[in-house]
Amino acid sequence: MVRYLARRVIWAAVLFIAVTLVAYVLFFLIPNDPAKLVAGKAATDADVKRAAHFLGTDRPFYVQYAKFLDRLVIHQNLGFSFANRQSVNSIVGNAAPVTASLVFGGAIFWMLLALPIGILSALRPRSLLDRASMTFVLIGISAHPIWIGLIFAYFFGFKLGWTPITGYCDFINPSTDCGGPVQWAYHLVLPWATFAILFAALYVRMIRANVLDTMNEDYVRTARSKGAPEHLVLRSHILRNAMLPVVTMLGMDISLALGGAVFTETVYSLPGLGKTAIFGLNNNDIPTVEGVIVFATLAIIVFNLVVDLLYAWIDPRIRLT
Amino acid sequence: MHRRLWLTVSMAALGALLLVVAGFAHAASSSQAAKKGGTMRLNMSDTDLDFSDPSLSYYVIGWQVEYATGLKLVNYPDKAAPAGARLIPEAAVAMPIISNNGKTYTFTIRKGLRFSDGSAVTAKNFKWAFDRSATKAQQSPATPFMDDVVGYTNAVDGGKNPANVPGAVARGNKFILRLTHPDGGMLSKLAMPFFQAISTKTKVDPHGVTVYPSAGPYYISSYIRSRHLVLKKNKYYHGNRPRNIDTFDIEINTDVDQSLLQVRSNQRDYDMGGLPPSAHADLAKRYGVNKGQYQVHPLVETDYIALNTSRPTFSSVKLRKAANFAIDRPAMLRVRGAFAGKRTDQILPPGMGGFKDVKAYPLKGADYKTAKKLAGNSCKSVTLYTTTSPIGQGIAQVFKYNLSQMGCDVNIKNFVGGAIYTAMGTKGEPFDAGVSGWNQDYPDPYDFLNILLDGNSIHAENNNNLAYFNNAKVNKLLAAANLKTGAARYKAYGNLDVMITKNYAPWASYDNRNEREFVSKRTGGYLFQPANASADLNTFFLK
Repeated sequence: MVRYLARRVIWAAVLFIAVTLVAYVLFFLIPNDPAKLVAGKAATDADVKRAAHFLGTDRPFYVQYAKFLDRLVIHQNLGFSFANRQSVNSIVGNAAPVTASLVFGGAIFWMLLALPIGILSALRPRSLLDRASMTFVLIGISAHPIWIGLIFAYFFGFKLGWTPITGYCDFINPSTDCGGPVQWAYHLVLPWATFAILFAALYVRMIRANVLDTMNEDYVRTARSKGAPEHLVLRSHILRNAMLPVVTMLGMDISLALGGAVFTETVYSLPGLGKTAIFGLNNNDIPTVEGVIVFATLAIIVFNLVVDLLYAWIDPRIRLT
Repeated sequence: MHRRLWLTVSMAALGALLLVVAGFAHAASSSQAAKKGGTMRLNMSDTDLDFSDPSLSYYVIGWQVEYATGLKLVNYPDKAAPAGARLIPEAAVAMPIISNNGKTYTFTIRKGLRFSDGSAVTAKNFKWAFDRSATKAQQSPATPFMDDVVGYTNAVDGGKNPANVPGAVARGNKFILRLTHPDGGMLSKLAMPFFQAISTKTKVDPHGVTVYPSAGPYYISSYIRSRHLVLKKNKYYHGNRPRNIDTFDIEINTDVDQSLLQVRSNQRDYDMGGLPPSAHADLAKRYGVNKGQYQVHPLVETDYIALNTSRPTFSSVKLRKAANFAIDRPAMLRVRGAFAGKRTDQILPPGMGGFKDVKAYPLKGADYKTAKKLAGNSCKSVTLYTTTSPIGQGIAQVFKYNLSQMGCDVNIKNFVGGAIYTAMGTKGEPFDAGVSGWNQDYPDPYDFLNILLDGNSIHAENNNNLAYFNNAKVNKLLAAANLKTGAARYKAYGNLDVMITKNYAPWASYDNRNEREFVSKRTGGYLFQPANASADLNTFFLK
């Protein structure tokens, strides 16, 4: 177990350096100068050079990258935004809870949809319910979240007035007049639904296929032949095994989405990591984009590790070596 | 006699009624009739303030806020064009006394002015604005505008924290500004928010302060980056600028499409970030143009194709003129959507002092016959730089087709966002033409002609003169025009605009853009401030 963890930590460090380095290199390949943004559009050559020195962008890229790593590892500091000079720690720290609200709420939404639909359509293949669920899967996978978001906001927010069209309220310590658990959930209903549809569709398909496969396993047939009641067969023999890949996928999908649910955040004006990353990219703001990348990479590494440990716990056949 | 009197009275009453109706029909209504109080809920879609710090804020949306919060020595009044683009004294009791051959400006500061924390505004607060912006650690974008002030550039380079600009002096209730040489545009520069009264409690902060005492009609009561901004009335303000709304509650970085739905359903009142590009035709059809909720106002801005005079193709004046005859300006303007602006062939936009409307090149469409005649067989390959935005792509395609009609083979190279300016701003970059535009920093023709076309300002990198136009005679005339003031200044720049456009054609200008705005039904009215090129927050009122 200890060896396994040590190996994972070393790989995590390699992955972390690779991802942040690639992101840095990509920024330097774009012929854009953040110093020009800082110095202003009427700046002279001397003003731009002064601004470049202020930002530290007048140094070679490997020096900038080394300074970034030094700040991050030694001081746990992501630096300051080129665009608005705010601490990237606080930018990411403010955006992460918003994305987490969207992603974890969305995950509950999609699992609540996907589990019953996936299981029922597997238990009754080619039934009306199965065909309807497959139609839902097709729409969910095909429709873009931006389109779904715009349609939802138009009908439920603008036409019917059931939900807010857009916006976000903090769950605790509201930064605006709008806040508290009720307003938080009320403002997130549409984003959750929008975010959940794509994943729900994918999970319905996956759960259906897993349950169908498991139903044909020998141990399920044996359980039935031993006279075990159907609900017990379903719960203890079919679902317990069919859900193993779902747990893995859920962990991976949540960790990926924590890096920024860009489309849903954009369409509903949620000030999360996805919107922050877009804002950083538009302003050639390397520190902010790197901050989001660092957060996303850490989320992926940690969640994958948790999923692997959880997997071993759920399935005693798996040993971590 | 009685009949005539009654007729006169009736007509006068009818006229007065029509005026009142017109006032309400046009959202840009007089603030005199405006209802006071209430909270306006605004959005700021797809953007945030670059900074709320007065020494750092530089972009239009930031200045829209600073115009409501700042108190300047001289300022543009809360009036529609043309009065709104003419400077008047604000914190100063009168326009400055200018002496020493235009090199010393003396302002007398009004008594009784106060910041939002109750402290008094004095000449020291204007001195502090200069010192703070010149402090190297502050890294203010104000520095390019004040290199004429005695010791300003040295103070920036000196690195003292805080800096002390010797040319900016506070003496009693006088603020004295000393220049190294006369600068006819100095008053316009002083009206930039960088040089507003700044409380000496607002220290140098390289990251920028977010909330601070200000001395204008409003102050920033809270600001959470990328989330939320609140402006409230400055209870210590006793000046004569309008301020109708009690509180502006502004959601930041909202989505422009959803924001439009919110304004249409009166959940929000106005989006400072603009409107979806595809919405204009529909909004105009539903609400009419300048009849109430949907407003269209001209900006002081020019969009143009820079013709790189330092490269073989467009080093030829004939070919540059040919390009100006070949481009289809209506087609280029159509790329920007409905009510996007007006066609132009000149450098200075119509709202700029000195502008003289001349018909140098065709505005109604391409004149390929004249273009071909001028170009002959001399046009071969043209490399055009543009952006990947839909508008950048559209303009590039029109230009490519237009120039192909005079025998040019246009190759398009695309850039993402601001990368095009880094590339085009580098001397020697292999482009022949580039899609560009310029919005005024302050309403003075210097900000167009000298900043964008003075050959003496060309460097190895970071150039604004994207046509690399360098003509000794024009450079000399530009420098001379900048020494003039008042009507003579405008006349000189107006003549230069015409001369450069007609004789040298370094740009193929194609449009002057409009600002298109949409307000909620509960909004009673507002004014469009021409100098700031944005809605004047002070003048908003609710029905």
